[in-house]
Amino acid sequence: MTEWAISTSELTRRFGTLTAVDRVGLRVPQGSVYGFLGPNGAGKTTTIRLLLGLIRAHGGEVMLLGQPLRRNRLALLGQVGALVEAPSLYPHLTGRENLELTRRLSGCRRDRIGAVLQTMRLADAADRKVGGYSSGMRQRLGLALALLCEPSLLVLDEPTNGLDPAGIREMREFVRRLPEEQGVTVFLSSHLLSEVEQVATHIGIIHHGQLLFQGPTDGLRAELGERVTVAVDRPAQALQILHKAGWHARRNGGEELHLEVNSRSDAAMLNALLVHQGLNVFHLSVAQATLEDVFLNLTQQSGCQTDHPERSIS
Amino acid sequence: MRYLARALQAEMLKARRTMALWLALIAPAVVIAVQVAMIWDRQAYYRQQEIPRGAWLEYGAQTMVLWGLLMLPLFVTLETALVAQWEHTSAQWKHLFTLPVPRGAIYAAKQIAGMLFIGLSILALTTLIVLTGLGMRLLLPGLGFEGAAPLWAFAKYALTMFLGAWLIIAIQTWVAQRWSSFAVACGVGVAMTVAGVLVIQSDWASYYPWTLPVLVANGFSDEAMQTLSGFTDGLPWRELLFGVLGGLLFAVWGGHDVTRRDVVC
Repeated sequence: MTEWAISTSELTRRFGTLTAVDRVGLRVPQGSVYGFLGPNGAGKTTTIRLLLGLIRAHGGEVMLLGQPLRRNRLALLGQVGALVEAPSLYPHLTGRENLELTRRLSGCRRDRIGAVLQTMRLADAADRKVGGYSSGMRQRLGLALALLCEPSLLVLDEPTNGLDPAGIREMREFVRRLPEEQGVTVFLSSHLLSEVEQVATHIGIIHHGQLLFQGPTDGLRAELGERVTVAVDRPAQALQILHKAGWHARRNGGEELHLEVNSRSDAAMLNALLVHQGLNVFHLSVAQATLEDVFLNLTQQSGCQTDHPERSIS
Repeated sequence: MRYLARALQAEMLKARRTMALWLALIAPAVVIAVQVAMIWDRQAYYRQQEIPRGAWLEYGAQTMVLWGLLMLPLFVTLETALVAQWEHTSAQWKHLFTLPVPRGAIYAAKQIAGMLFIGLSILALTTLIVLTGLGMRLLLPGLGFEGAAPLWAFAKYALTMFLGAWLIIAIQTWVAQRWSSFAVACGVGVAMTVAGVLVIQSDWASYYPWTLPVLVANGFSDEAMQTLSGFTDGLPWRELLFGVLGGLLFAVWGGHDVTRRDVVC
């Protein structure tokens, strides 16, 4: 068995003069839940379309389950389930008919329809037209379509879109269980950092079409150390002082500055630096770095401007 | 063939609860209704019993010309656009093209589904011609429908008209799949059909896809005046070959063009 469910080398795609995906080398381990993060327009969906053969690459190669996609497209797609952006459903057909249609095209077993309807809690609504489904039900049916033929690899693009908080939690639990219970590798992109943080065993961060980081989530947090929040009376001046001193600090628009440190002694050092420059520091706290810190740190270093550096990156 | 059969089954499933099948019956019924209304209005002409080709052939030929010149090209436009919209409106391409089915099989199934709906409509038209003729024999005696219906001649020309329509089916299928806008597919079809009304009077009519069905129907009129059975000089072989071979070649090219494109929506 190959080590990687997905591996790409130098994967490149251009749209006119824009390089949407720039020499990306993904490594998605078998049995992992790989969270693929990036701001809007970073190249997430384009990468997913390249992985599924929906668009052609201008360079590089895609390997799925150890085989090149270009030469084994049909055989590989038979082992891949995908939900790209909003679910593609025929509203005039029932949920069961939508599944039957995909089943006929894919040639998988008939009894799988009942199984995925049960798993996605759609059995009661199976014979209703999809046009009357709520957005959450549609999303669940989209996932049922992706799981219909018992894939080895599941590719999900923003799978929690349209779900209410309970649905998001349910989806999270479901995705987390998939590798263990069904041996499925999950590659998912999301604009919700918190979602990815809670389910992903590995993450990849893409920005301006370039893969800035990928690796195990725990290892990344450990590598990043701790996060310091400082509140000062003149934050703009403090930001300048810290940048001049070589710290990658960022500001949320208020009085607080955030930055990553290697140890608590670093926190004491930057406090002394600010006070020495005549600034009043009235709050300083140290906490474990979150995935959000990783993301913001990496994207800001590469020149990203995020409007809302809260939990969402969109 | 296995993939094509799967894709065709899927197309038939998609047609459930849509207007696609109903339109194949409604469109010919509208033409028949217009024709029956005209006969009702012109009863005196029919009762003279001086129609050169007899009431059955007069009725059949006029109906097929009206169908072939206007309704058939418009119907092809509408059906192919409807079949394509099943995919465009719910962004289905990104789902269909990630399934383990060759893209060419999916396109071919759409082409064949369009042909089946058009074939069904022509069958419905022919059946309605016979049924309404028999109805007029009962309800309006003396119009000339007492003789046997020329079923063989009707069947042959229904088939040839269907074959003559292959090229416009292939063109409209390509347009409807290639562009997601319903307006583009309908606009092209309507504009070309209207232009066909002018082109039919020129020497170019034999090379204009949208006039091929009516040229076959005209052949029917000419032949009908000569004989009640069998193909004679009236059959426009050139137009038929252009329609069939052109249709097949265009379908292959259209499939190649659509399936090699990137799916970005």
